[in-house]
Amino acid sequence: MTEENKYLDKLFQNKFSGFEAKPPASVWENVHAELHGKGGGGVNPVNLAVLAALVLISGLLGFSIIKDSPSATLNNITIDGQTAMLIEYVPPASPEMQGPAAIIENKQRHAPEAKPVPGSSGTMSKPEKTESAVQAENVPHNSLHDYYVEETFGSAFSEEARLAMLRSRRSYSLHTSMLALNSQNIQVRDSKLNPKYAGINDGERQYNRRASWQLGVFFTPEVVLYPEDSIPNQRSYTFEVTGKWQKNEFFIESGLGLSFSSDDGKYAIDYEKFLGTYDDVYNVTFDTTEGGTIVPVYHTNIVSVYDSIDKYRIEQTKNRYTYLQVPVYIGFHKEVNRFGWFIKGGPILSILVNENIPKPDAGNDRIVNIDQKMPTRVNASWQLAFSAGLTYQLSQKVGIAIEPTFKYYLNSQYERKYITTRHPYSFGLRTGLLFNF
Amino acid sequence: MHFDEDFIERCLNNDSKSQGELYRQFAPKMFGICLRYAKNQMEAEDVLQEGFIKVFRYLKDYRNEGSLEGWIRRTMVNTAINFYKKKVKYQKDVSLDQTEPINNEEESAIDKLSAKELLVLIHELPDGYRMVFNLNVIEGYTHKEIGKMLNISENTSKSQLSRARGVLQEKLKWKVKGD
Repeated sequence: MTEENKYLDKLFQNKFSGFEAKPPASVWENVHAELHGKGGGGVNPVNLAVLAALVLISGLLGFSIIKDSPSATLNNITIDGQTAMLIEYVPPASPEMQGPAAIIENKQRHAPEAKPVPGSSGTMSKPEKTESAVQAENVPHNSLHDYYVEETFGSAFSEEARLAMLRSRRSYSLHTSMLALNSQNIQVRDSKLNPKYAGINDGERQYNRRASWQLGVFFTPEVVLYPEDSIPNQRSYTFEVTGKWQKNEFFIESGLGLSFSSDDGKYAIDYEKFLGTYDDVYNVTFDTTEGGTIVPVYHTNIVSVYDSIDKYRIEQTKNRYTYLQVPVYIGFHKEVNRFGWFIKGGPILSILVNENIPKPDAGNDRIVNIDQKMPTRVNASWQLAFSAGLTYQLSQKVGIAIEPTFKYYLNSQYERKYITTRHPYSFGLRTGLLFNF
Repeated sequence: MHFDEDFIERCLNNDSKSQGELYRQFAPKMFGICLRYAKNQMEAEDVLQEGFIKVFRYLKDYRNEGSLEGWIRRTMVNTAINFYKKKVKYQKDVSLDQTEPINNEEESAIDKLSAKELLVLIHELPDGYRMVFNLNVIEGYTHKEIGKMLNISENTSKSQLSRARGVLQEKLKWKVKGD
């Protein structure tokens, strides 16, 4: 052994004597799972339990709020040609009830008997009239509407002032802070301006806030982060169609989406370089020409020649994956005029439906061995998604939405044995069109 | 920490706590070994995982002859060899130019390199070279033993070791020049 070799051997022996490195926690988890008969790659049962609990609690909470939501009594008035709806909040009767709401409720209970409205089974439809005509007409409580106005505002305001308050088209809610009247108690809502109240006919007497349906078409660019691995951030694009069922301010949303993502894959290829061909003679026969000359006929095969020394190269590939996504969200949506805001959360199931992994192109060279450098993906994964966003109604039927989203992956999209990050997370921006029904 | 027969018995009875203790005690050292034999960290993790599963499954075969650490180490090396055999069907040779010997100035710079930096160079070796280099230079196996382990001839083992040294020497020179 040369001095050079001795030095080299000693160098490596010394440096690696007692060399230690901390393995990632996932190795022990996999060993433990293997020894104790738990399958790897699946969703952690603890995560599933947390997910189930979250969905259950959200569902129960939403249901109880919807169930306890009070009914409202509808009354209509017509002022200066504008149809408006006067909705009185009727809280449950209680002897302990205090304040203006209680007064209104008590008065309202007596009102229909004391002031029946001719020509109507309870709906108060006030004919269009001018302000001066209203002033001139001095008929007290000739409608339920007038009765409420009188009882609510009392004599603190003139008839003109009271009507002016109701007439203002900009105000959908009457905020009577002076009288300490909760804005929830009386609201004027214009069905022509706010599609949420579309379909509520003027003749309806009882009004429960209707459940509404909405169709959404969305596009979401997204970045998935793997903080513990050297895998670069993954980008994905999702197209989704969802249906949303909303009652009061709470909603359930679900649908189907297609998500497209890609990996920068690598092939490490051992190959033999193509050098050329030669004709290999495998048989010789002899023919006699017309002149009597004997000529040899060579039967050949074309044989390729490759370099006997293997070469090595890295080839970049773009692996593409398509996922079918099934989201289920529960959320809260509040609308103020044309604008709305919402928060929501829920699980998403992602199923790998297609993968396109290009084969390495060897050309004329002969491939000896191929080592794919990208970890393989699992067939299904679960995520928990949370988002908060804004909506804007462009018209009665169409609106737009924008929502930043955060997703927590309950299991990674990659096979666990290749990856340390078991719970990647992602940020996305979901934008879309909303269609009201 | 002393691993007596009771402890091994508990491991054999699938006692998670004891198995965890044994893993925590030896995993860092064994991962260091796996990193030398594997092509990259991902593969080293696979070897370590597979190796420890074997350790726990075949712990009954350990007869308290020799140290437990030595037995686990041999299991890890054998697992790494099996990985190599499964993966590599063809042996690749690298053509080398005649390398200049390392001079004194380079030697002092090379001495300062850390184990992690040397590990990077080892990972860049072709699989066969890396196996023979590790088995002969670090573990101390003879070429005859290596030939049996890897199903290659003694001469192939010798030539691969020679080439591995040549490649490493070249890479070390480049490394210290680059720094």
